Amino acid sequence: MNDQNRMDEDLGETERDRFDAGVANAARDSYRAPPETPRDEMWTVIQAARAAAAPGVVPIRRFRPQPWWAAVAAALVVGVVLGRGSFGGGPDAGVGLSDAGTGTPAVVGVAPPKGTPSAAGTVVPRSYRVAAARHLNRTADFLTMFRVDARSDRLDATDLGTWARRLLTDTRLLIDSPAGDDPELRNLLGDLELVLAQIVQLRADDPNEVEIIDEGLESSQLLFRLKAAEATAPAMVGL
Amino acid sequence: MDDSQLLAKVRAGDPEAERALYDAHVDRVFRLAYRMTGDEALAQDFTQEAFIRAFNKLHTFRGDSALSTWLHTVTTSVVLNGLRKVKKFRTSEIDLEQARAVAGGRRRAEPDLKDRLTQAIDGLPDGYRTVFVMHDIEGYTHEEIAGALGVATGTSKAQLSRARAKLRVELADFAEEVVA
Repeated sequence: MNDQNRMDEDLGETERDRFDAGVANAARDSYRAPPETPRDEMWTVIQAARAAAAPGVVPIRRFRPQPWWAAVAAALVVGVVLGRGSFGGGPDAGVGLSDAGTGTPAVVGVAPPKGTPSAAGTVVPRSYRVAAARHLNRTADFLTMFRVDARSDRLDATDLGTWARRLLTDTRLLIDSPAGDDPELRNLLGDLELVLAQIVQLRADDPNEVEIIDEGLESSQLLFRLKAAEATAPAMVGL
Repeated sequence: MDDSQLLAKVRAGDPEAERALYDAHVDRVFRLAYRMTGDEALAQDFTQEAFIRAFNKLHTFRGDSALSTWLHTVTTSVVLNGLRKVKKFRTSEIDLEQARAVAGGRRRAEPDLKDRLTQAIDGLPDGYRTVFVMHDIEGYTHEEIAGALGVATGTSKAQLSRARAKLRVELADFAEEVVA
């Protein structure tokens, strides 16, 4: 006679029911008691993922050069041109990016909208803020889809690498631009650079790397920070 | 607002209706995901993916069942499928926990019911554990469980019966405490 039969014999039906109910009650209270549901946090991610997958947004796996790349590139170029063209500072010139002693102009870009200096007091020219906002938006979409695909084993390392490489290039450009003088933005871009570099080097035959990147995204709360930055994008670009 | 009105608004792209649908069901999905994973980040990921999938599949809902039943079937399936993917990690995690419990348990005069209960539930075969957590802890019906797992309701009932029987044996030392 096994333990289970012996136990069932020892306990009558009523006792068994009481025992089962007692176990269920105790389990409800103590077995991995769930914390409060993080409704808003999850809703933000759900909305972002759905927006990224909406018609008109190109799925990551089927990479083709898209006009938005041109837009980001154009914005960066415009930023650089405006920045370099406004040395001397006419009446519209922005203020605040000082780089004394390096030969780099202390004043770059057009005048920013009022009330948009960074926490550290630096004022990033509007053109760079526009470029940064678009870049953050696209990178958030990319990383969201990366996570969804990683969790459904649908990753295409080749396409991912192509996208990540382009995003990495723009991230680097932004870090080295006046946008990188905003400490918060620089910090965010630095974390993005690290993750994108990992994705660029991702090999299709090593699923562990995907998990490591995924864990890195989780621990740095990068997507959440990107979403937060996106939420402030209109103010960020003065819209 | 009843299900059909809510559904019509969601299908029309009304963001407030989408949020209302989400708010009405997210707790139950998140709770199950957390009970099954024991990990908040993982539970969040599964819940998010479940709702993304559910919203994307909403056009396939034909009204054969209640919207809430359909939604829970979709979301629970996503959570349970996600769990299968991390099973490898969970197995090693449970092994470690059990090894620690065995090593430490013998030194303790009276391991408490909570610890033993957790070990006993974790030690159930996956199928038993899933049904036990869904039915006895989270209050899913056998019909809901069967729909989510893609099995017959009889299978769900049988799995639950076996799970309870195993727990009775595992927790026999705590019988007085359990029924008190």
